[in-house]
Amino acid sequence: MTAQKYLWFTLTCLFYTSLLASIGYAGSGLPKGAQPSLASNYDSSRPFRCLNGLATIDFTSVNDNYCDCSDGSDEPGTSACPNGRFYCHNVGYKPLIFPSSRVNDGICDCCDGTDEYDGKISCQNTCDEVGAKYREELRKLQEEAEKGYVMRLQYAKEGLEAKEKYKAKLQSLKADIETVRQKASELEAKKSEAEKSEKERLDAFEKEWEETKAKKREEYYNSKSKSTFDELDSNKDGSITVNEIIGNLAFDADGNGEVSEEEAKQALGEAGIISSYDNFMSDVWPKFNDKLVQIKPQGLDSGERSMEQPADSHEVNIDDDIVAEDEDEAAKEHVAVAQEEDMYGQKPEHDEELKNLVAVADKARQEYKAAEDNKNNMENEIQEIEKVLGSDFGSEEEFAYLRGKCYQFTDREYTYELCPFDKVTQTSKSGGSQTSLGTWGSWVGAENKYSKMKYEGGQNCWNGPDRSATIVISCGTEDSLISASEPNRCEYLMEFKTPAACFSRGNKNSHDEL
Amino acid sequence: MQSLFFLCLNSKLRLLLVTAIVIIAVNGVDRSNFKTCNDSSFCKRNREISPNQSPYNVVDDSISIQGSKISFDIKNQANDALLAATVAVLRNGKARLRIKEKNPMYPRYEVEDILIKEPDEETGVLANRDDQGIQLNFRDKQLILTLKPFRIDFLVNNTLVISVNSRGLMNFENYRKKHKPADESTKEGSENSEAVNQVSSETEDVPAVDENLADKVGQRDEELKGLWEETFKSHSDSKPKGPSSVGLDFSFPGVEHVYGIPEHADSLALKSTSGGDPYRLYNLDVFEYEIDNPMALYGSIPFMLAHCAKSTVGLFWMNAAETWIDIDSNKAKDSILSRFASMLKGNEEMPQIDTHWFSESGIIDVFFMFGPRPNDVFEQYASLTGPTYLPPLFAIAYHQSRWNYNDEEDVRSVDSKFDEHDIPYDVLWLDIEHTDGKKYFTWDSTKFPNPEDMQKSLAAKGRKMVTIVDPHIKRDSGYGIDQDASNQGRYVKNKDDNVYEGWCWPGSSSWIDFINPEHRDWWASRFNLDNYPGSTNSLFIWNDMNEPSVFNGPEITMHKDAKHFGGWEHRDVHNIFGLYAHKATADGLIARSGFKERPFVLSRAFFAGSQRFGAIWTGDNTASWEHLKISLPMIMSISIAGLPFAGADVGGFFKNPDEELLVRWYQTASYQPFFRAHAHIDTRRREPWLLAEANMNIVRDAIRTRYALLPFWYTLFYQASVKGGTIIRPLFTEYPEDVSTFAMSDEYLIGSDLLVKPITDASASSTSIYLPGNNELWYDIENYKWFTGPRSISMSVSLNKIPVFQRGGSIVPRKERIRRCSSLMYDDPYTLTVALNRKAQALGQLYIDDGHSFDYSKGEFSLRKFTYEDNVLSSRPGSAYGNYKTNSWLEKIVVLGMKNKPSKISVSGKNSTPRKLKFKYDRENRRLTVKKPEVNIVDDWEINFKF
Repeated sequence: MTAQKYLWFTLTCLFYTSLLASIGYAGSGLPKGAQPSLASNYDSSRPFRCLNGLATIDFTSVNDNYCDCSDGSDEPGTSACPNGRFYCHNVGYKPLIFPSSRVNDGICDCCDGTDEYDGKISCQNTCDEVGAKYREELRKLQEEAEKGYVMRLQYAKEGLEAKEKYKAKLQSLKADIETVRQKASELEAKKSEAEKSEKERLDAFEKEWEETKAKKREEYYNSKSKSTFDELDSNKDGSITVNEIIGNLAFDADGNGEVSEEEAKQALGEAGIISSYDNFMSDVWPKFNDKLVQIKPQGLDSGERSMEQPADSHEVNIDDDIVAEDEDEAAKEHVAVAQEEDMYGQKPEHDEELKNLVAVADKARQEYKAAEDNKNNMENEIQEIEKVLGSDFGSEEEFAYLRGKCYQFTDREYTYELCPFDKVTQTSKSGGSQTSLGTWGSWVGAENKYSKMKYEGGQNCWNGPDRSATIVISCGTEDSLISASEPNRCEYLMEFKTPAACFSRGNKNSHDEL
Repeated sequence: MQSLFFLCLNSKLRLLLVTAIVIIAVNGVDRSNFKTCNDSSFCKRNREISPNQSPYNVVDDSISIQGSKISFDIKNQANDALLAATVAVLRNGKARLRIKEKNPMYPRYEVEDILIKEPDEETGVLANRDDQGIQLNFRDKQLILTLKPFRIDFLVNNTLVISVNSRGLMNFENYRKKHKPADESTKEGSENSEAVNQVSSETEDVPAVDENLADKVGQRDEELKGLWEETFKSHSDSKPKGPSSVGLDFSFPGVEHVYGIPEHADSLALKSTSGGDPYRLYNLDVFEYEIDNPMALYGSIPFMLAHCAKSTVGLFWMNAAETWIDIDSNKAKDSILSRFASMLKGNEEMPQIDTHWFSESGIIDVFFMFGPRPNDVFEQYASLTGPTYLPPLFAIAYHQSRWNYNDEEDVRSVDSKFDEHDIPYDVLWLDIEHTDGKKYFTWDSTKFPNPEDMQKSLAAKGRKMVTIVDPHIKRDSGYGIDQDASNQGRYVKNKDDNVYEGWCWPGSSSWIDFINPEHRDWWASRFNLDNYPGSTNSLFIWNDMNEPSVFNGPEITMHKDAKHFGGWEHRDVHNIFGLYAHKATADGLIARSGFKERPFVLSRAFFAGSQRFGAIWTGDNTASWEHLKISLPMIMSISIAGLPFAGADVGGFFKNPDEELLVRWYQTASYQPFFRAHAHIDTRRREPWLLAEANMNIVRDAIRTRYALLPFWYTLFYQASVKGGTIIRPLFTEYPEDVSTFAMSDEYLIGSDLLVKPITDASASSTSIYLPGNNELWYDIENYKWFTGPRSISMSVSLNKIPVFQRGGSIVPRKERIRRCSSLMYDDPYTLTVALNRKAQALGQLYIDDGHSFDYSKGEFSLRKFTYEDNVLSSRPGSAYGNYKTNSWLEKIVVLGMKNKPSKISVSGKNSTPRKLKFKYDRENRRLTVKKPEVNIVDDWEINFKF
């Protein structure tokens, strides 16, 4: 080799070409750049037939730096054919085949340097060095693959076992579910019946109480009418005038917080005066008794409160306003309840019969709820198990163990999280909410479908598609997310290593090429 | 590259962001962002001038004739304003007319740095004078100056070819004092003098002018709006100097087709503008531009070609302000001067194209070129603004770009994918995201921690890198470029003499004032390796956004009242601003190499003369068939205007092309001068290997075909760099008498020897191709079938077919060993394809140099002339100079149109005995292939064909 190389260096490009045909690989007779597997086609004692059979040429035209064959097979060792392929033996490393346009282009592509022989550049033979490195890397890879493979077997075993357990569980659930459903529906009927009796009796009880209340209310109002008249008649002249009621919010018809003269007149009639208690009872009391009895105590208070509000301020905190109104409402309610008790007295307790009915219904409800919950839980469990059993966790269930786990990868800006068979998310390191990059879609690897996962339908990109993520799965001894990128806008690409992807034994890898 | 520009904003700009989103969401251009003629007061004023009432007369006693030049004054009869004019006959069939103000109130901007030298005046000019005017006779041409009203006519061979002001639309708005409107004055009688006094006291340094004149002008014009201030949308133009436009009409008798005045996304043959807006020249960043309209785009070259079967003339309106051009088709009789009436006898319906040009400020400085043929006009124009520079070889190879390749790993991966798929490329591009916060000359240190190593690993394979450097500078006191530009006063100023600030990619930005030669020098020195950390000698530059693009400015550009060096307003220099940025960058790269290496700088904005500094592209196009189709006339129009190194983003910048469109785009662009794939950040990746394998293979073939033809392209670039002229050529420029080619832009020639018909329609299964030339033979370069012109043929075009023909009579050089990039093919052998014409002759040239340095200008080149004649193919020097040596040899000769099989072929060189050559003859296709002549390509040799 060395002598020949030296010779090539000394040749000019115009002269070397005719010598090339006689220069083959280490004197084997194989033309330079030709693949050993095709050796039988290159017989220097016969004319050369192009490998596609379309032409036959003198053997001296092989590697003569001129392209005669349309398939490039006559020039494996020169750059003459656009479709030529150059083979370097790379003893000590592994052979390489590449386009013959890389022959004599000034770049050392073969570690044995055989692709550069026109003297433009001197390529060292680095195959031993490169090969050693490669073998070391390969050894590590194989070690990892072997270790991973063993782990994968275990995961597959566990996965299959889990699958069997799920199947068994499903079977038993399915066997039980009908009974449970039956029981639930029986209890539901029982509950309905109890509730029906309960309701009838309860309705009667409430009806009675309402009637009592109406009666009491009338009595109450009647008892208050004279004192109310007297209170309104502040000057005690036996008649009520506009001036006397103008401060009483019971007459604030439009609810604006003050009683206008018109509102007062509306209450007292056009004359603006009620001249006797009898007139009061006939003209005013029926219309205003509710308000007069109820509003009196807090009317003034509420008016004062509204006076405190700054009328022209734009800086009122809206939340404060709302709080204030809520407080008002609560106060009113409190007063109303107090008044009710004042009017009606205590509501009577349920009688024994009713108490009994309620107790029976409560029990039926509880029993039904327990049965219904049990049924729902079982149905959910069935659904969940069916989903799991319907999922593709690999040909041998080896990926099943990844379900329910999550893995993170953090780069400069983001933390990415992959939860296999569930979702992929992205969170900015500077804070902010989680962005969905997609939920579990399917396996999409080309040759081996278990080499790629696709997650789809993530958060929509403004003016663009929904986010999606493709996860490239490769063999490793640990489960880890090792990279994340966004090669297209809103289309993410991540790499995930897992023993589950160690499909082949380490020692089965191509040792023979070394 | 405009869009989504608000990634990091402060709160002040939120409102703007909302506005921007609304704009972006609109499909296609938002026309309301850009002015129509109606929105531009000077456009309206000039368009409203009535024809045939020109108030401009030559002042009788002002005329003086010196040799080839006539100097004279022109008086505006309406206001007595005086203009100083010269018209000069120049050498090699050119003339120049200059009109300025005689006593301007303010200096008027005159374009500098565009002419490569002061043009030589013609010798042997004879002058005749009579009472109507003056006639200059020179060679076969005449110039006739008519005095009242002012008018000039040019005749070639006694045929009238150009008339100037024949329609009387000339307009020269003298600078004037602002006239105070009547309603602001209390006393009727004294209003004018008050107004004048007020203005003159504010502007003491202004030369005195005739106050009566100012009054007269004021009274007449004040009725028109927009003289002293105009607003567009929310932007106000303070117009401190008032109206200042200049306009003139030019008619081309006998002509039905005019071309040029790029940049517009419109047809090659320009359309009549009557009823619509004029063609506009005002460098603008137009988001998602529409096609088939006269709106202004990124670049402006005010050069027009007027062509008919008998004559071709050119016109160059040297003005850098906003310019509009009206074009109308008419009949000649209306504007033919009575003394030429005899020319019309029996031909009263002679067609004519009338054009009307007007610019917002500056002077009238117009060049006329008289051809007589298109290629002559191109040479004449190149003698004014210069021919194209000779780009380094890699620059005409294939470029791979995207907004953005994200980081060093991305770059490494893209680079290796090209090799993995055996697709050649020369240059990998990095868009704005490579910087640290859009601070140009910096790197994002996380994504690109080792930019030098990255460039070196590309360079190890002969590849280059391009980074983007825009002319807007981020305002950031921690940023050295901003610090220096700020402290040294290098920024453009606003109307109030503060630093002009606007919004661009980095947020708040200011613009280097490239009008100032010192600032250009400073900018150029930024490209020294020491000043640009992380750069190497294999890094080249892309100037984007140099119109300039100002996101929050009027029409997305700079305010017209912004102030530049020399007191010029932005309105005076707008269209030349981008060219100066381009030039300063190119000068920087040259200086970086110690003045040894040719630069490569891509610019988006351009002006007349940009061809001397680098390449341009057609900006932010869209992934649509229409945009692919329009790229042909756009690039041809730019090419006609003296700038041959142009291209369009392959695939379309916006949106995602489908595979068919992308394949067709690669096929088309591989036959265009600047060949770069580029895409918006929102698009999907579309590198060739992402296509289906069959489509990727077609794209690979297209790119490889380009590489094979690089010697042919490079030779054409060399020829254009010497003489000027086009590289891709509309058919009419090579077949100027063939009327059927005049409006044709769906096919074109590369040089004069290859005819290309790109397929620009979806699902096209066949196409028709016009093959020009009487008895011209055209050979399909794929299957060698030949056709005789002139005729139209129909051809089926499956996706892998793009019709390309070699002209009979030509010799095309190729390098057929396609390597990973062009520099790796440096020493490779050549193949010559000899396409015989009917006389069994052919001619071709090949130019070779080192591909990158300026050594060629010292004779380190070789120009070869190949001739096939009398059954001998010979190689002789194509020029008296050049002694470049190469290792490249001749590996193959393909002769097309060889009717008989030779009995013997032999080669003989200078010092060698004849040697017999092997060959193959394909009778059916009349194709002869000669194997390995093995002669050095730059030697003299002969190959004899015996029958």
